[in-house]
Parts: sequence; C-alpha cells; structure tokens
Amino acid sequence: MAKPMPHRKPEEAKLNITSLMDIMTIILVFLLKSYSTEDIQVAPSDDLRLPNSSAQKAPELAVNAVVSQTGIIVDGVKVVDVAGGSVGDEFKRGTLIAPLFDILKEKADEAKALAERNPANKFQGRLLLQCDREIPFSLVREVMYTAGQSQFAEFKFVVYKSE
Amino acid sequence: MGASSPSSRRRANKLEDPELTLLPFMNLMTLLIPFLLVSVQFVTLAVIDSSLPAIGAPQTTTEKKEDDKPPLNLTVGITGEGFTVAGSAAVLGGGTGGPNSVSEESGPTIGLTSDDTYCRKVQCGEEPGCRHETPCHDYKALQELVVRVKEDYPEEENVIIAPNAEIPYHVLVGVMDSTRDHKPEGSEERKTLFPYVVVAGGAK
Repeated sequence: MAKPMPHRKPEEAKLNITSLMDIMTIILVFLLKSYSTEDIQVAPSDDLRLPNSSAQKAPELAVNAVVSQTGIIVDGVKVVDVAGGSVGDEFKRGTLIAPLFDILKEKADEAKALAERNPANKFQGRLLLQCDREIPFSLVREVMYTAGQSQFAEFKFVVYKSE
Repeated sequence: MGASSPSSRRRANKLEDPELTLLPFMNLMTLLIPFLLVSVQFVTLAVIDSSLPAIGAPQTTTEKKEDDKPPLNLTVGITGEGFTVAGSAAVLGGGTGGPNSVSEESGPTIGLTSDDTYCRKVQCGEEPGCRHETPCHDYKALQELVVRVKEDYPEEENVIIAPNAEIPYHVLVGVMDSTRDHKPEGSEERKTLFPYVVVAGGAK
C-alpha cells in the first residue's frame, strides 16, 4: 500500500505554459516570414485562376482589371459579363468593349486630374491585368485594345510566381 | 529584512522551480498571431511587363545603327499547331531550323509535344486533380531556339508575340516566360533573353 502523500499547503495553481510558448514562437516566426504588405488584392476563385510564371518582378499599385471566366471587374466593380470566353456583341463596338472603355476612361481622367495637382504623381497609364488562365487570347486582345484606347498602354500581367 | 532575501527563501523551500513570468508574453503572442494570420500570404504574385505596340512603323529600326546587323524583330507566332518563330530576315522553317527554309506551308517552327509528363508539369505543376491537355505547346524547345537566337543577336531585347485568337492566356504567359530569361545549366543566375514584350494583335 502506498503511503498517502503528505498533505501540502494549498498553493496557487500554476499552468505549465513553457511548451505552449515554444509552439507560439515557432508559429510567430513562420507568420512573420510570410507576412505580406502587398498592395494588390487577388481573390482566387474557380473563375479566376492566374497562370504560373517564372517572372520575378514585384507588382505595384495601379488600376486593377480582372478578366475572369464570368466577368470583367475594374477596381472591384463588375463592368461587363463574360460568357464562353467572350463579351456579348451588344456591349462591343468593333473590337472595343464599350462599358470597359467608359470606366477606364473615367479612371484615366481621374488620375490625370490628380497628376495636375500633384506633379510627382504622374499618370503613367499602368494597368494591372489579372486574367484567368483559360481566357482565349481574343478576349485578352479586346481588353488590351480597349485599355489602349482609354490611354492605358502599359500592361502588367499578374501571375503566380512559381519559383 | 534578512528573512525575505532571495538566498534565505531559496534555502527555505529548495524544491520550487524558478519560474519565468510568461503570461505577459503569452498575451502578446495571442494578439500577434491572429493579426499575422490574417495578413499571411500563401501565394506570391509577380507581374510581366508589356506595352502596346506603337501605332505606325516599328520603332526598333531607329536604334543602334553602328553595327551591320539589321534589327532582329524577333516574332513568335502562336497557333494551335505550335510556334512559328520569325525574324526580320526570315521565318524559321519547321524541323530544319535553318533560316533558309522559308515557307508558309512548312508549318510551325516548333510543333506540339505529346510528352504527357511534360504537359502535365507545365500546365498543372504540383496541383493535384488538375486536368491537362496533351499534346501541348513545347516551351522548352522554344526556349532552346530563342537562346540560340540570342547568341547571334546579343544586343536585341525586344520580342513580338502574336498569338491566334483561340490561344488560351496561359500559353501566352508560357511563351513570355520562355523568351524573357533562362537558367543556363549549372548556373544559379537567370540570364536575360528578350525581356521587352510586345503583344501583337495576332493572326486571324
């Protein structure tokens, strides 16, 4: 028979949190490492799967156009529907996608008005293009043409960095 | 005073562990970790630059007149059958790779590859359950060809890419990847090939 333990004075209950601390420290280091301060927001979905690429250049802030399988979105606002890899003919004037042209023109005018007041912030006509990997080139070309007509001539194709 | 000094207390109950006050640190951690978790980034993004072709005559002819070589105007056409690589002098014919085998009928310079493993790797990477198509475009062969072109024209930096209308966007990105830079074998550093991309309207 084991002798009963000698009764000790009631003590303050203590948590042994040292091992938890170990975990926390490791998680903290990992999270700090993958901390991002990127400006671009990408909302991946089934409709928008960016292609992989070996490109190394970091993205910068600009007007953001998303071409997904279901629609064209400029700075978070849906502009026009896409079905079967093309825009409906009623929205098009030749190669130009009319609703997209209108909104991009507005953005360009806004940026130019800003540039007038602040010469350091020049309008460079940069457009971030996030296109789904299965979008046919015909649609990409229409978007590029429309952007070109509304004075966005420098494209930045957003891709997933694969290395 | 002397009774409460550390040394005398330690003597009193020898068994007690010295303990760190970790609780404030824990508080900090529990705040920091959720904050970092929301801003964690699992995919890294990159961009590929491209500008619209200038309306009118090509501009490349105005640069670098001192050497004898005419501007290259390297053009990569993408069709459903493969890549057609052309310079200002000639279209590279299929198979032979010689500049003299100019002929529109000879088909693409680089055909599709039917290597299933390669196609899977290019189109899906490590992603499980991703469907891929075979045959697919052969970026590796294109890059080998472009590297050879670069050796002959080390000054050139422009490439024109002209895809057909039905070509999916990822093929265009793949071509831009293979013409932009490459990793020579046994080297860690990437070597630049033709970084300035112009996407042309494409053949109908």
